[in-house]
This record gives sequence, C-alpha cells and structure tokens, in this order.
Amino acid sequence: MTVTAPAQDSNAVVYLAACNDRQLLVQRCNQCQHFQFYPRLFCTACGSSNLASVQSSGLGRIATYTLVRKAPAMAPDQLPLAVALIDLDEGVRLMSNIVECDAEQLRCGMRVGVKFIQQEDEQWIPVFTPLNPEEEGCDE
Amino acid sequence: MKSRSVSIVGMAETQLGVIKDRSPMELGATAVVGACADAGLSVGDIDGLITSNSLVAPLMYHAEATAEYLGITPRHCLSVATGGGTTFTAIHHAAMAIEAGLADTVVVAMADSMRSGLSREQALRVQASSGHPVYERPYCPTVPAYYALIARAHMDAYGTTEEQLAEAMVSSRAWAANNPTSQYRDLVSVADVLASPLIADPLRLLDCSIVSDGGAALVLTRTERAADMAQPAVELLGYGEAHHYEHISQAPSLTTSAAAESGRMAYAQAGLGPEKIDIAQLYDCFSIALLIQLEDLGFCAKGEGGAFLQSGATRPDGALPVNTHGGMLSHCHPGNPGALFAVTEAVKQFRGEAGERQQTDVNHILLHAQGGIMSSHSSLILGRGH
Repeated sequence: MTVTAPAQDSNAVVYLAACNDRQLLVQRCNQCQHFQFYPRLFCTACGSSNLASVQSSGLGRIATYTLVRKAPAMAPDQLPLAVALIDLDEGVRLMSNIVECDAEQLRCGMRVGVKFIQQEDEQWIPVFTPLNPEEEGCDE
Repeated sequence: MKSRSVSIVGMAETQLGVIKDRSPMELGATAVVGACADAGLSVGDIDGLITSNSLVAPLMYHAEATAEYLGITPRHCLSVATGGGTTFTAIHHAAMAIEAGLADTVVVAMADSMRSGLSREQALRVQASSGHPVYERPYCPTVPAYYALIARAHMDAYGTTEEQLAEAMVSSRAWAANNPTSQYRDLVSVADVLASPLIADPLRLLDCSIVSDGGAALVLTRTERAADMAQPAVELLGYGEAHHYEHISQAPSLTTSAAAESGRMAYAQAGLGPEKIDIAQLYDCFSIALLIQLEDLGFCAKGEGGAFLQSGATRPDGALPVNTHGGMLSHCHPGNPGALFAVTEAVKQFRGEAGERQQTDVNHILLHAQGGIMSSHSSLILGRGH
C-alpha cells in the first residue's frame, strides 16, 4: 500500500531550506513593500502574490520573553529554556529561543542577533543571542 | 437587539472535580438529562443539540453520538470547537438556530475528563499540539509560556507586578471558599501565590487554572415560550465575537486583546455599557488573561488591571463581583467545557440560587471567554427574561 503524505507548505519548504544554509528569510511584498513573517502565498497587507524572499539582517529586539521552568516533553537539563518573541529590524515578529545568555539579564527591548542551531532531526533553526552594546554600535 | 428573543430555561451541572468512574459521554448525557428536568421538559423535547468534542475520548460525530446515547433524534446537531470560547460560540449558534427556525428547544452540553482521563502520552500530545508546527513548536513553548509572554509584555508596558497578578487567585479562592462544588476552596494570600513554584516566568503555579472532570448543560428556547416553563428565563441580551490571530507570534498586540472588540459588540447589542454590569464572569485560564479582560471589557482603563485587582474590586465584598463560582482558577476546568460553569453560575445568580455567593439586584451579567492564546474572543451579556 502506498501512503501519500499531504503536500508540505511550499513557503515553509523554502524557509527551512534557507535555514539549513544559515540564512533567515523574511518576505517583502514587491507591490506595497510590506514585510511579513511567516511566509505566505499572499501579502497580508495588500493581497498581492508578488512576494520576494529576502535575507533578514538577523538583528532585532526582544519584544517579550519567558523562562520555561516546567515542560513535560523536555529533559530537566534543558530547563529553564528562554522562549521569546523577537522583533526583527525589518519590522516582523517571530518566536525563538534566546541562547548563550544569563537568564537573569534578559529584558524586553534587549538587542539580539541571530545564530543557527541544529535540531535532532538535523534541521537548522534560527535562535538569538544578546548583542554587546559595543558590538552593535549606537542602538542603546 | 429586537430579534434576540432567546433565553436559557434550564441548566444542570454534573459532579465536578475528580470523577474517576464516569466517562465524558456519561457526564455529558447526565448533564443533558438534568438540564431538561430543570426546565420541566423531557429529553425527547430536544430538537437541537450542540456539544463540544471530548479531548479525552474524541468522537468523529460528537453531537450525533450524544443524541444516539440519549435515544433522541434532533433535527439540528452541531459539534463546536473554538477552544475556551466554545461555550459562548455554542450558545450563540443555539440562539441562531432557534431564530432561524432550525430548532425550538436546543440543548448545549459539554463534558470532559481532563483530570482523570488523560494518559501521559495524551497530555504530552495536547501540550505539543499548540503552537505553529514550523515557526513556533521548534522553540518548545508550553501553554503557560504563551501566557507568560503576554504577562511579561504587560509588566513591561504598564508596570504590572507579580503581586498584582497574584490577586487573581486570591480573589478566585475568596469566592470558591463559599462554593460547595468548587474543586479548591482553601483561601490563599498573595504571599502563598508568590511562594508557589515558577512554571514560566513570571507565571507561577497559582497563576494557572486547575484541571478537572465534569460537565454541564443548558436548555435554550424562545423567550416568549419560556413563560410557561418551570424556571424563570435568563435572556440573551448581547453577543460579540472577534478573532485576531491564532498563533501568539502573530498577535497584533500582546497587551490589548480582541476582547475589546467582542465586548463592544456585545454591549452595543444589549444597549448598555460596563457600568450596568452587576457581575462579570471572565475567562481566568491564567491570572494575566483575567487582568487583560478587565481592561479590554471596560471595567478599568488599559494598564490599570493590576491596580484594579489589587483594590479588591473583584472579591466578594468588592464593587465588581468577578467569577462568583470561583472560576477556572479554583472551581472547575475540564478543558473546552470550562466556561460553561460561568454560565450555570450566572443562571443561579439570576434565580437567587447562589447560596452564600448570592448577590442582590442582579440584572445584567457579562460573560467572556477566549480560545487559543487570547486569540478567539466571545462576549455574552445575560439579563432577566421578561
């Protein structure tokens, strides 16, 4: 018996392939210049299907964050896990983890930059790490 | 609002809390039979049945299977799934079915066994099934974590404190202490909440709702017909819904929810405002959800939800009784049916059956529920039927 898997989201395929090349893609509408994340077939601002995938600067700010202390699916040594919403400089928001940070130092508005880590299934995913103010220049 | 002429004329709750010896179907059917008896009707009088599926024992055709279990043959059957908002969506669909002539006597029934019926594997699946599969789940968010993201954003924007969030549980227990059917009835202090373990900063164990078994059912019919029924009618005066996103990373605002919009619609339909609300029955899945609803539904200004809770306004001796049954923080939360107990309590308050929790001069009760991660919102205003 042949089992047919449902079609994968074509935009997600492109996004995940770019992640494996350590690139974070966001979509920009060629019609109205609106940036959007996650990628879709249509612009949520103007409805156009004329969209470009562009590489994000990978820089942004922590919009909000939490430290997950209890998670049934996770091993205790993986906790606490910093889950955050990141506002990229392009003007889009995405969920991610903050890594290589002192959990007590996290705060809303903190500047962060992207890096990529590999999951158990070998897929690379974007995570973020705090930037040194000097490293980044004038932002803070 | 002239066309709205539908009332709740019967209701029943099952045993609530930890019920190990009844299946979700048995709980749901028991609630239906009880609600019909309360209304002075027989189960065979039901010609519309609206249910929500059980998470523990899901069925492909849940409402139809419930009808079959009861031995009835309704001409309108619907199973609703809008998460926490399921209850009020179902009530609204019941009203629409009655107004459209699809049915005359509609029962809304929901029950589940989230406390006793979930295996560890099922619980893990439930936990992992929220969040966008590509853009969120790889980061291992939990349901409390989503609400913690909202809480942190509210603290950052408005200076809301953990002490203020803790007041949600303090208020909930002050009501629950007077409700014999409440799963937890011990009073707690702000210090108790702050001493409970962190689940996802800044939310602690006692910022989170409980997990329960149980169910309830309502009987709805045209208000004009209600005059001949066994119980005084509780009329649907206003309803509003708003859906702004599904995944928290797509929320247009983390600190103002679509409750502001659904509330506005419900107030406009009922022709009244928050100052006319005698009791508010809100969706307290987490402390922060309650706090934001108090703001968005107009009971205090944006950013002042923390101070409002801290003032004691929502407690038994306060200006705005909130969740007089104890809410989902203390009373009963079997999943999708959770908000149904906000309705049964409202009916008790209108009928004068709320025991030690009974409020005087209850004319208008606002109920609000939300599904997803503060994503889908529904507001309902109830009044005394005429």
